Amino acid sequence: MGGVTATAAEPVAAPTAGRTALVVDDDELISHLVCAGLRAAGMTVVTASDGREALLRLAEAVPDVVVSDVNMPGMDGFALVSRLRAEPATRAVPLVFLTSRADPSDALAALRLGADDYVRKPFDLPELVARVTAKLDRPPVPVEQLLRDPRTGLLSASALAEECAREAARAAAGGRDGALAVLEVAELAALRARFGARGEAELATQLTAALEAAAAGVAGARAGRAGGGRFALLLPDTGAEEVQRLLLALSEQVVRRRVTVSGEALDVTPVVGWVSLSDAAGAEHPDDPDADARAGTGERALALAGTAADGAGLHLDLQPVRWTADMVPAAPAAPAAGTGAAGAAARWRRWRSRLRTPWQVALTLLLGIVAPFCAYAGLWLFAGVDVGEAAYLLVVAALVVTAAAIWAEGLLALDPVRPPADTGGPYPRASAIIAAYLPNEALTIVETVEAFLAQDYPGELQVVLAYNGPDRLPVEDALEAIAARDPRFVPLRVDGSTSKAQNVNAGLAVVTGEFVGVFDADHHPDPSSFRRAWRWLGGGYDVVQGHCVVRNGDASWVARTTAVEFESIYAVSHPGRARLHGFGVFGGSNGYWRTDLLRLTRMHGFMLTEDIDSSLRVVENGGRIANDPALLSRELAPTTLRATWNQRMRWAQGWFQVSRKHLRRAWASPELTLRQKLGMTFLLGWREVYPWISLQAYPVVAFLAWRAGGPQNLDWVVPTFLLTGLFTCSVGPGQTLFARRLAVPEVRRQRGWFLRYLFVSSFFYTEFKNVIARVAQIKEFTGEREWKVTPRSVPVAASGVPVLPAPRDGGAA
Amino acid sequence: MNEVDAMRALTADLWEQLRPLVRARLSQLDEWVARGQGLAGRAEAVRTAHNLSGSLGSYGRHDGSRVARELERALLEDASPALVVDLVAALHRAVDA
Repeated sequence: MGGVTATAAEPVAAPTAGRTALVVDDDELISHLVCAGLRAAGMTVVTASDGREALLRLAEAVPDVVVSDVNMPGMDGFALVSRLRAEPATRAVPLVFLTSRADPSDALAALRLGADDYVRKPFDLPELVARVTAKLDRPPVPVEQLLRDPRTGLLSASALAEECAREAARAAAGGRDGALAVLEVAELAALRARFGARGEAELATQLTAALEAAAAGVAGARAGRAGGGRFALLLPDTGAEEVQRLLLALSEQVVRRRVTVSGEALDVTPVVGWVSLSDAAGAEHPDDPDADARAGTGERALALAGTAADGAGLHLDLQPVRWTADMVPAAPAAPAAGTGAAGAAARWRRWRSRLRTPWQVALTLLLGIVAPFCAYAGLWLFAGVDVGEAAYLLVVAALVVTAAAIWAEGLLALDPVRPPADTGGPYPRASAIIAAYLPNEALTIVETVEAFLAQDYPGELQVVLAYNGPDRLPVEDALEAIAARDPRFVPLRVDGSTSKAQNVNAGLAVVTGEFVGVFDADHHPDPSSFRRAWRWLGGGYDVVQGHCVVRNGDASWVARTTAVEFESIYAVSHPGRARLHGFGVFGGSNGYWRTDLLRLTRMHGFMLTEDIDSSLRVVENGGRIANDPALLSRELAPTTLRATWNQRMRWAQGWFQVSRKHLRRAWASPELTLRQKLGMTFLLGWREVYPWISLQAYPVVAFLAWRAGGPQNLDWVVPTFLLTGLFTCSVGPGQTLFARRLAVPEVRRQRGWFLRYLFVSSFFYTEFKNVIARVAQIKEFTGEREWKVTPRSVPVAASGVPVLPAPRDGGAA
Repeated sequence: MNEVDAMRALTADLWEQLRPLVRARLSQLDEWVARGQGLAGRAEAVRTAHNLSGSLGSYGRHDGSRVARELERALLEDASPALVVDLVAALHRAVDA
């Protein structure tokens, strides 16, 4: 193009100055014009007359932008752009097509092949130059190479992965470890289906604000996207506990803030998984173990945190889940060999499993009786120290304190805290969540649902059945028919759920009530329950736990014992303790919550007694829980001793788990009064110590007798011994009397049940529960956490048709 | 002079410099017409008309661009030789204007 000079326009001092453009056109007239325009804009221009020559120029140096004709001899523009986009070095180079092709399908093809703009000839030179300049100012970068997500302005997944890799390397070189978290919203798919891409964009904008706020609180933290609608948060130089705390706060922040999509306020459930940078650096890629060499630490961290988020998505309890190596999908188990050696190993495992609990019982006796006796005797023999008298007095004092507390509970229960007066309305929208494992509840779930729909509640009542089960059952058709007939009923299958906690958490996503009652599927609340519950919640309480009454007490002696025991618990202990300690507890079923609080609190499925755990979290944060003995719901009790053992073992282990977690937190809580802290100490500390103290009379008396030369030499009528014995022996009858006096009429009428309960509990049942409490602690310490969903016997009618279901274990009363 | 005006001036300046090149292309068309508009050279004539329709308009010669597009269509549709002669003549006038 020698001989042609552009003189009319001086080069402009623009951001394009010094940038290089490759102009590809076989028409000199066009080529000259474009070159002149770009040079006038300050750019250096290289030319080529067709696609092939353009590739040669590109091999010499990659320009900042390409302006190309489409119709050219040799290699045309479409072939050129395809080659350009296939090469990593030129993949992100902006390309503007300049063509006389007027057919819209050509423009579509060009853009799909990777062109960034499509300008038709004849063109206006200033506009063309402006378009090219725009491509240089805001380069169209392939999605996977974007530094920032164009929708949210957060770091792109690839950019975040790079940052993550850099932080991981820094940590490996001696710095403090950090973490990468992935956050998503469990309801994203439903939100997309309902509101489309626009809804997702609105959600993203709001989540971005929460993420950026979380990142702002940590030095060096960066928020970004993680692909698939997920978000990521890189937390460098942050310890595991701090990570967990920050992410939990983030989850709670998202729940508190709610989101607004298309003008509708929605409750979403954040799901957070995270991985420490050191773990990510040393782990395999979860989806492709062979990809280690290719995938960088950053990509791996995103994938691992995503795996952890998948795990969190099963629970919906707001708890961030940390990635651990066992989350990597395990290799398929080898088929059973069926050989003699394998069979013997299996038999041995079975026997070991069967003997485990008897061995644990023996161990508790060793620890609770033999070990203290040996200690007393050893001190006496080898150090000349006699601790027998002191130990005796301590044991006596402990037993008296316990007995006094139980008597105090009973006396206070005679005048329980009453609910605020019924204001007569207006009554807000209410919801019930019935959690069910459907195969166990199939026989009566329809009856249960109908009972809930028949509630006498003046406001609107929604009934959510949140259930799980392995296969679709015929009863689901019946449930859908009810839902079609009565829109208040919402059957919700929770796929992937394995616990009541997951079902309740999932149910919260569809709950519309201002308050929500949580129930197991065998519960039949009194018709006026929701109205009464609102008196508490409308009067300033956050949670109210009702009185669970056994409705199958005539099924067996175990059920009768449980029926009276439940009266002792729900009519006496709970309301008495609520007055004594200044707080109540939620027992897992027949409990009513303010919905916004339950959304924030959730049920933590990793706790064996998620109900007690949730109660204590509420109380520690200053929430108010009431216990109302007149808020009735009737349920089924286990009918065999084995079922009761399994149920109570889970409760006892759960209580121990909760005690270990909450006792210190309760004392550290600024929200609790001293009385409440002492109450927590009794509930969480003393309750766990007492089963061991109850054994201590044996080693102490044995030691005293041994030291005295035989039991015949002991003075068995010392006043303290007699008084203590009388006082502690009065506890059982006292509890039974209180229970009878405060029981619901249908149980109170069963006088024989109370007499048998007094006998059974005095000589067997109380110690049975103490044994369970001690063994549960051994199991918890040894990490044995079998969740036994105990099948309870199904009473069979004369026709031979089962008439009652085998309910799941209920709450930890 | 603002940026747009500068570009327009640049375009006009270039047009004057490149007008001989356009005329040379028109001469090639003239030769092909003089040879009787045979098959040989038709594809080249179509290409020249196609390029001129794009380039003349880009230089602000919109009449020339429109005539060149009509010529391209006439050649593609195998229109009458007389029409082709008329369109080439019109193209000359537009370029010389």
